[in-house]
Amino acid sequence: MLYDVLVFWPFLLLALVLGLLVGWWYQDPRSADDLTAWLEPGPDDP
Amino acid sequence: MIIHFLQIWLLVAVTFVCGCLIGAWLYSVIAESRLALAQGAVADTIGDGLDRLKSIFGIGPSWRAEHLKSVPRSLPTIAAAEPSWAGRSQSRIDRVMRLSPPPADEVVEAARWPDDLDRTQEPAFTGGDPTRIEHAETVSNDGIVPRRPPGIAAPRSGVPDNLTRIRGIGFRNETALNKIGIYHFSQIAAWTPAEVRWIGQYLAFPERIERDDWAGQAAVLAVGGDTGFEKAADRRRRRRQALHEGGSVEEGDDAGDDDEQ
Repeated sequence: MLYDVLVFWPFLLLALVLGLLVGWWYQDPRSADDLTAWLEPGPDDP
Repeated sequence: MIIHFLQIWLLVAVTFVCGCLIGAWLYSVIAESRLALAQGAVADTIGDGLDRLKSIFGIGPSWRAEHLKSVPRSLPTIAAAEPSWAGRSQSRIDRVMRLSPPPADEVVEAARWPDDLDRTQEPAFTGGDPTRIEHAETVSNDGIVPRRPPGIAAPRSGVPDNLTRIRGIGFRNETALNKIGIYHFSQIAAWTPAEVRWIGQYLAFPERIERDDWAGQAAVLAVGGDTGFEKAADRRRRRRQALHEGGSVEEGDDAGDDDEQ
């Protein structure tokens, strides 16, 4: 395990940063708004 | 070998999940701290930047980036223009005004906000869901005192505007708005920040109206303009109409819609 961490640390760092961004985005209410804005039915939808 | 491979991917996945948890926790902590204002400003800046990029690449509504330049949105400007900001957070507003005075042109823009309706009186129309109304009048931590926008009992000339042409308004929101007497683009275009807050809380969509700039969209639509935003149903209808005019597809045939372009 330690070997993996030492060798693949750039990928782990990238995964951590991506995770941080996703977690931040998930908590931000604007993200939900952006999604729901496009999921709302349009004028012709039942 | 396979086990080692799986082990690496498992490690990456665990790191990613940890990052998600830390990111979500960081957001919550900052949102509760004194940095919340800066956090919102940064998020808005990034959002506006993305909107501009979308506009440049032609994948977003082109009017929005230009329109945002003329809309007073900064906290000092809103505080200067909105008397309802007076209250328990006045000291905070004073501090913001002192640290970051609004640009002169923004103050001029703020003074131009429509004031043709007498907002000092109670709205003539008082319909709506009582539970939602009670929630809508809750004062949040930032000190904005929500104010109900004036509504009308029935649409003018009996014909309401199609509010679903505004991005962020679907059938559900349109129905909710009609119930409180909002039927026309011109009404939405005239909303002040305090009224936007009231509506946002009434619809239980915090910051949604500000983010999608309903008032800006409504201002364009009220004068017969086009915001460039069309929902999937509009696109389908236009494609169907175009195909029908070309004589290649029968009316009501949706099968070819997704195949077209």
